[in-house]
Amino acid sequence: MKRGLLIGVGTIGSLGAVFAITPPQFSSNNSTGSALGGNTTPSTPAPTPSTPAPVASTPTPTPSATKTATAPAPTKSATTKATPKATTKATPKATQHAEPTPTPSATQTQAPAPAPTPTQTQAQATGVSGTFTGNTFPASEYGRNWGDVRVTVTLKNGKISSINGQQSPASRGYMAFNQIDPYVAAQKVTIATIKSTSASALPYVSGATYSSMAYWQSLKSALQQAGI
Amino acid sequence: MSIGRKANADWAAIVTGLGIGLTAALYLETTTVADWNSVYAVITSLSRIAALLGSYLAIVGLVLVSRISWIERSVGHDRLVVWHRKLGPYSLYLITLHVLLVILGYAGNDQVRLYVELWRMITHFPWMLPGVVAFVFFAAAGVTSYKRVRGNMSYETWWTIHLYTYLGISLSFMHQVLIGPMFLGHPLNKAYWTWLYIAAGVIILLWRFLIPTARSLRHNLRVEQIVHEGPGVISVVMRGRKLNKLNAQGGQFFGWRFIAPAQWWISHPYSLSAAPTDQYLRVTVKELGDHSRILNKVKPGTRVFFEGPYGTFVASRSTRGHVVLVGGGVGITPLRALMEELDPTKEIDVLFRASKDEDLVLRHELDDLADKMGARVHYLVGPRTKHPMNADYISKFVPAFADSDVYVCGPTPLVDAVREASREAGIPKDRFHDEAFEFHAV
Repeated sequence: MKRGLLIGVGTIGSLGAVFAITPPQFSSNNSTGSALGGNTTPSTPAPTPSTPAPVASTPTPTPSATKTATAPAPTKSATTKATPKATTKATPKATQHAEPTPTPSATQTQAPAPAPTPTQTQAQATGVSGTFTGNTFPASEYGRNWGDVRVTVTLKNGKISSINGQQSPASRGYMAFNQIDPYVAAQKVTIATIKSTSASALPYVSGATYSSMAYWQSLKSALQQAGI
Repeated sequence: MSIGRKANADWAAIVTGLGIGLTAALYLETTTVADWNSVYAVITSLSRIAALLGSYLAIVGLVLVSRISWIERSVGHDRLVVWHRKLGPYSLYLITLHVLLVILGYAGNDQVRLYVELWRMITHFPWMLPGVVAFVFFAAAGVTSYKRVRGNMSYETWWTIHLYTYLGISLSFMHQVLIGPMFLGHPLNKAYWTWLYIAAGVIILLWRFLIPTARSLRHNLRVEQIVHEGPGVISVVMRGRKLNKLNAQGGQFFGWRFIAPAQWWISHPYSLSAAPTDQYLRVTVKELGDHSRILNKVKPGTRVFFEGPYGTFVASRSTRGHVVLVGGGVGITPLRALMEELDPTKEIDVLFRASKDEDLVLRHELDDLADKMGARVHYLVGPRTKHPMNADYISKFVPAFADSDVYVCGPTPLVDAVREASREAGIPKDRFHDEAFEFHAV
């Protein structure tokens, strides 16, 4: 009996200690499991442009500095290791010149914290329309690829009107995308959130975590091509 | 039992509790409303809670029988085994629940048949096949430990199947941290869980393998002689060096591993049947399993690896001036060893239960020892009905029964009967010491 009590004391003690340090956030956005079912509200405020957008009026402005910084994995063969290096190297240089979006989310890091882009200068180019296909990203974990993911998105007036994720070879992603596609098309997650949150912190379908992550990465690159 | 020893077990209880709390916390910190807002999400969430708790209990169950010396000394091996046995089934139930619910939850979410979902999981999830294999191992160990199955099975078979739980628990680890949403993107959770497994692995490696191996080599124990004590009963006398350093006491037992063909791989628990000396250890064994029969053929000079000593069934725990030793059949052997180490000024009564005269193992040794120590030996031979081991019956032979320390070793029914008798006589728990045979078998 006494030992049972001690076990109980230990349980409550450690549980209380953890809760005291980090109270659980049952409705957080960088959620786990089938987060898509819920009404996910972004945990970080969507970044607002800090400076008036000095963007050229053409719908596809993509400054060259941004290109080097944000398209580190244009080919399938780009290894996950090489990706973060390329980004980190390119970013500091580029920021001095053109204030690009450093999009850390293109890397394969698993950082759970959303990394908001500080200066979203050329964002919100309203009125972009057209169909854009994102870069291909591997749904990879520990060097194993669960299938390359590519997202095709159709924009109308700067809003996503339809979206389609593809995976080859198909794994859990083919089911995951059946859930994510309508979720995105229904504007349950805003473009601002997609851009400001790292791919690993965006909602995912349980059992298809890496496919979901690759989906967001590809979508991010598609949005970039659209100049958003 | 000193206060310090009790405190060890209390600390262990608190640490166990801390682990439960952390395990619960790692789930509660990562769960979201979305995990609970549809039927299949709830099913999947419940399966994950079951998995976490089941795995945690499995780890605790392993550590309970990992022979950590200071816990063994403070709680007693037999009681640890009882806890292990009580915990084991719950762990298996929870993990079974996890397997069933997670298939149901995912299949429901994907709207496919259960076996289709199971196949998808195995083929598409990382480390899922090893996870399934792990469950099979774990379930096999559980089923073969179920009383009715265990009874129809040799100790060797049961032991081997039980050994696979180590493999099972290791194999299950990767699918947890790679798929479990409470670990993905949560490095702290992953770190806690990983260290839990590493700590358990280190404890087991250290106390079940490295320490026993080092001590076996150091003491260089070898079979000296095989003695036939009676029909189906043999004694194995072993010789080693500096055995006093083991701090073994009469009444304790070791896990023995005779390094000979066909049996080096399996360890057996036998009690010492004589008080240990600097050079000699002895066990006395009745032909109960395959191994006891094979022991007949062990040749002198065979090296013996051992784990131990284990158990708190020792003379030094007696507190009264009167000691009652109750032995059943071959269960007399640890009592015979323990008796040698009792304070000779104490009053000693030995009650020796056996169904036949020929089962009175080591009778002559016992008589000699009784003469030397001024002890009385009461031979109670015959069926159980003739010798009901209740308080009244025992008091007939030992009038001072209620004011004595009681030691009992033998088959479980005998141990249970004497425990009940002691309770009837008002003997407090800390003066009742028991060692049931089957408790050794882990």
